[in-house]
Amino acid sequence: MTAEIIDGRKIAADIQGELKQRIANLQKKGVSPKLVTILVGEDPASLSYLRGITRSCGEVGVLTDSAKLPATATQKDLLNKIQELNRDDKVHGILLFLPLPKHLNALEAESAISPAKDVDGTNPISAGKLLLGEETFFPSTPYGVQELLMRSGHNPDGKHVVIVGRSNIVGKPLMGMLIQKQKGANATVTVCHTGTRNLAEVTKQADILVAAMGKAKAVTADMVRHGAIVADVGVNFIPDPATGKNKQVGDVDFEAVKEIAGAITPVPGGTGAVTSMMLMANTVRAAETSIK
Amino acid sequence: MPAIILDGKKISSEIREELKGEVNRLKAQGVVPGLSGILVGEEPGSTTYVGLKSKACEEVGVREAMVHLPETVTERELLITIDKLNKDPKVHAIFIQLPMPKHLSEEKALAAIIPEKDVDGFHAMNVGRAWLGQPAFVPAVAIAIHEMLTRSGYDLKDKNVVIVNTDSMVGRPLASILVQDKATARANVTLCHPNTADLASYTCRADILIVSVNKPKFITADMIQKGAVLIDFGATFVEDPVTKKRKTVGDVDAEGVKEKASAISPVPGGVGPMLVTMLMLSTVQAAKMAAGLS
Repeated sequence: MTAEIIDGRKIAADIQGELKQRIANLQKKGVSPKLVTILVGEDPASLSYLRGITRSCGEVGVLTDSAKLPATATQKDLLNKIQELNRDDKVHGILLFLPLPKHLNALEAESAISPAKDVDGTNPISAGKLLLGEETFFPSTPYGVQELLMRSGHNPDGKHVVIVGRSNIVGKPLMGMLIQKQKGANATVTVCHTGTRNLAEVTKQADILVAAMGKAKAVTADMVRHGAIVADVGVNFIPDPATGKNKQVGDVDFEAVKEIAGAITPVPGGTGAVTSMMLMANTVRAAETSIK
Repeated sequence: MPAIILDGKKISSEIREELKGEVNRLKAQGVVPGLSGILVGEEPGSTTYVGLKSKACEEVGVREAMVHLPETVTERELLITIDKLNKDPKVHAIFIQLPMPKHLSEEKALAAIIPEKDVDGFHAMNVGRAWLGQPAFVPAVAIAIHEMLTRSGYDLKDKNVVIVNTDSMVGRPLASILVQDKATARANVTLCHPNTADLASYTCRADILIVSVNKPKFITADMIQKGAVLIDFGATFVEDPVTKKRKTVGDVDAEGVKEKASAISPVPGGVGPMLVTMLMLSTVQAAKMAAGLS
């Protein structure tokens, strides 16, 4: 039997509808949620991410602005900009694009973002609160995975979740979120990585398998337990023999795994679609918290 | 072959010897590591424990300045005390002896210690830095278990490490050491709740099993794989049926597993005796960081 295909776009649209309602409520109180991004230099990947964020903000109705600093900006320039945004009551969320030019200290800059506006969850204090189970902003990718699981009826509570990939923006925060004794969590969680010997042995234990290793089609059908829920966080580009152009694929061999899994997220149209919405959700929540 | 006993007292004294040398080198450069602890009230257990910490300072050569506040101290007075220690350049490391009297907020007090002096590693900034793989202070139990494993010669890379405990003192900080992409880590880490359904299906796959649930004989021989390394950080007081004396037992059925496990940390004498030494380790680290030496 073929797996249920979890429709990330549909879930993202549902979340978008809810956010629009919350934004309307905020506007009645005179508050318009606003996200400001900081871009130092002209890193192409960051510019492309910026376009995506601008589009999402436009669709949802979150105000946005980008503070662009030249590649020659000093650490002091960057910290001053962050402080200025921290103090600005009209700004609810701040996102700093990485990587920064090499002469700048990213850790110091991330730590300078006020935790109340750290909607990307990059300040170490936000990471600490996440692990401690205190109120904080979750980084958007793991937050998106959790929402996607919950909204598709696959609550991780009591399940064994295996996460392949232990990055600071996906694997680690997702583990931290799912071990909490909270709604949508309370799972038994294993984190492993691509270098793991007998990776298949570990992944086959999973009730819910999260692929976040950044390697095209690395999760094959023999690595998945029959009926498992598979969330694919990968974004890879490989040449499409049919068109000669690059196409987007995930970390999971979708065609083969969908014959084994109970449910699976496609790429594109799966976790990625929800991820961009979670940054919006965090910004709206930051705005709501600011007037509490 | 019966399991090797991982001797926490022995490892602890090795580390203290190393620390003595390091403190002497620091003193030669004009840096005297300083530790301050805050003890509120007269609770006998806490008083004893602070005494052990003072003694360890003396042994290793750390300058200690314990602050004893009366049971009736107000929150404001407590926070002022913490602030003074935060600002005192002779104090590199600060701890608060828990538990505190009920009228005081532990959360507020712990958050008031600046992260650079928070050697217990409870501040969210330290928790986050450790989780992200950055230099940070980590709670003593987690460092002790990691030191015990690495100093006993276990390579953690690719090992299935199963931790039965998800709290902020043990499971979470241990996971944050073991998942990092570093030479002494890179393990596959599973965090289980004590009430995880079919717990044995996880523990049976562990190359290294770490348990801290405070339930005697919680881990029995049928729950482990042959050759597993067992770290027991449980403590329950029971009456010895023969001698009628109170004794401490761990979470592992030590008698039952000793022919099946390859190594086991005993209770008592395992992780417990290492904890105060870990505080010394972190204090020396804090002094080095403050002096720009690490």
